[in-house]
Formats: sequence, structure tokens, C-alpha cells
Amino acid sequence: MAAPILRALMIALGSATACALADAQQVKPATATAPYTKLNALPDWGGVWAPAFSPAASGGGDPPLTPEYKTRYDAFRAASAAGRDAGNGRPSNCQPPGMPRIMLQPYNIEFLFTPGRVTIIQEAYMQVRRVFTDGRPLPEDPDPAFNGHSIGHWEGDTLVVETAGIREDTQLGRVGVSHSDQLRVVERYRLDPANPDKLSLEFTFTDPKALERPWQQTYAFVRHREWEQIEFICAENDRNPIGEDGKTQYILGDK
Amino acid sequence: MRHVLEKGSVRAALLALVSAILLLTPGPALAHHSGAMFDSTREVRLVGVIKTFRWSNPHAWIEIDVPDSAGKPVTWGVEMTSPSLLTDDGWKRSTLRVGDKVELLVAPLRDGKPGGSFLGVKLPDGSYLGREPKKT
Repeated sequence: MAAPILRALMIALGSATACALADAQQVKPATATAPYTKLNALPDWGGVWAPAFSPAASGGGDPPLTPEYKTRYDAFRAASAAGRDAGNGRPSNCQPPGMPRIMLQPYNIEFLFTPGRVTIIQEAYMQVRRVFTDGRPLPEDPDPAFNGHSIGHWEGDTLVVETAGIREDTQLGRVGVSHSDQLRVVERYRLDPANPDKLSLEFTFTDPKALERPWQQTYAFVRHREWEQIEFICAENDRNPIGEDGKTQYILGDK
Repeated sequence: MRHVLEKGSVRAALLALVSAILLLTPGPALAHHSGAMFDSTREVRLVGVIKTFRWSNPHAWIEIDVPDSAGKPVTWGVEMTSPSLLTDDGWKRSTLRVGDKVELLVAPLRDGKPGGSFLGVKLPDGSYLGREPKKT
């Protein structure tokens, strides 16, 4: 009496196991099998990293914009200089800045190393970037995303990150500089050899539509091992929606 | 929460950052949105009683009742930066309490409504954070 039931159960379990194995074999093996012990070879980037930079002093001069994109940038600067709300390029003030300005917020960042992947967490808006270092290529024809799609690799102690598939409504390394859907961003992160509590980030922006030639900017971060990131929920007290006229509103009163 | 505050270096870094932002965007330095709604060329000193203090993102927020010329209290809404940045500057969620009598310095709204961007506060114990609100 029990045997047929048991057999049926065994068959069911067997099929389930076989399915699970088949699924497992389709997972990209590099991430799944890279040992955690290999992480010991990576540099110590522990703690959180506070920005120690000024966008005005980031090198690279003015962006070498093509005429179309220079016209846009000039219009933005004219509006800002006149004290008009240039809109910040966002349909809502709780919309995150996206790449590359996610790295340039006046808030700290932290890095997590796991096999085949580096995760970057930005305190502002608690944003997460996943940088796959398992050897996979960039996705073909990805959906445009605020933070784009990133792969990376290590060149000695330098983390090199390549990002594509970035939404066109983000801005480059300076407020008001727009770009096309063909933007590619390469980031090179390394500790300062003279000061391991200083991390430098060198951006190289390439965009055949918006830039006459690649544009580079360099920024620095300072380590605070004792800090922890704090929670940041933008919807908590958002009194600054952007109205139909493109201007930031300011909601007084109880909320 | 940050366990240890290295105020000097953090403040210096923030000042550098704020200066840099000021070079690029008019008005008080706000990462979250343009400061165009505030008149950064003016400073208004508010003497009143704290009605609300919200320790919240993306901006901490003060509501303060300030008597108008007829002595009738008017509630001003004052936008600050965020808990993260304010913590670096020595603030806590308990720095202001409902009913505290304080002086605030703000860059007022351009449209004349009773609101502004925080510049500094003189606390009930006489100490101040940010810029000292001075009688002019």
C-alpha cells in the first residue's frame, strides 16, 4: 500500500531535483562558483567614503560639447544665472539623479565586494549600483536605466567600471550637461598610494552625439571607517514637487 | 547614526563642497533641487516659537510661529538639508523641541510666502548652529 505512494513521491522529488539542476546549469557559472577566498586579494575599501570634491575643480575643463548639446547647456546656464528654476533636469525632486551624478552627491558611498560583483551604495536615496566583475559582457540593447548597466574588472588595485544603457534624462558630471543614449562611462577607482584613506575616481565620458571627444573628470573621496550610512527615504517629507511650469514648488503647512 | 564625529574635517569638506555648489547653482546649496525659489541675496531673521521640527528626508523641516506686525502669529516653513548632512554639522533630532523660543536666519522665498531656506539658528541656551542670527 505504502510502496506505490512512496515511489510516486520519489519520482516527483526526482523530477524536481532534475529541474533544479537544469536551472542551476543555466546560471552564469562565474558568479556562482567564484570563491570568497579570492576576495582577500582585493584592496581594503572598508568604511564609507565621503565626497571631498568640488565639481568646479574636477579637471577636464568645460565639456567638449557638440553644437546641439552646447546650445542646451548654454540655455541651462543662462536660466540659472538669471535665478530662474532650470528644472534640475528631473520631473520630480525625488527622482534620483542616475549615472553619473549618483556618484557626485554630497553624501557618502560604500563598496561591497562579493564574488563576481562589486556593489556600490549611495547614501542619498539609498541607491544601489551592481557592477558585475564575473566576465560577462555589457547587455545588448538594454532598457535605458537611471544607473545604466555596469560591468567591471580589476587592473591591479584599480577597479575599472564600464557603464552603458543610461537614460537620456540624466546629466553628466556637471549640472545641466545633457547627453544622448549613446553615452558610455568608464570609471577608474583606486586608493591614493600616498594615503590609503583617499579614493580617487576618474570618469571618462564618451558620447558620439553629445561630445566632440572624450571628457574626463576626477573626483576624490575620504574614508570614514567609523561611519554608517543612514536611512534616506525621499517620500518621507517631499515638499518640493515640480509643477507644470517646470518650477520646483514649495509646499508650506502641515504635511 | 555616526558614532564619532570629526567635525572639523567634515565641516571643512562640506564648506568646500557647498562653495563649489554655490559656484554652479544660485541660491542656497541643496542637492535635492534647485535653489531658485529662494532669494539668496536676502536674509530674514525670525524670532518665534518652534511649532514643528521634522527630522526627515529629503529635507529636515522647521515650522516656527512668528508674530507679524499686528502681533498675530504667522507660521513660517523653513527647509533645511537632510539628517545626514545636519548630523555632520552637529544637529540631532532632539536639537529643537516644540515650544522652544529660538531665532532663525533664513533665505526667504522669492514669492513672498512665509517660508525660506535655513541658514542658522540661535538655540534657547544661547548657542547657535550654522550662521549666527544677528540683529540688523
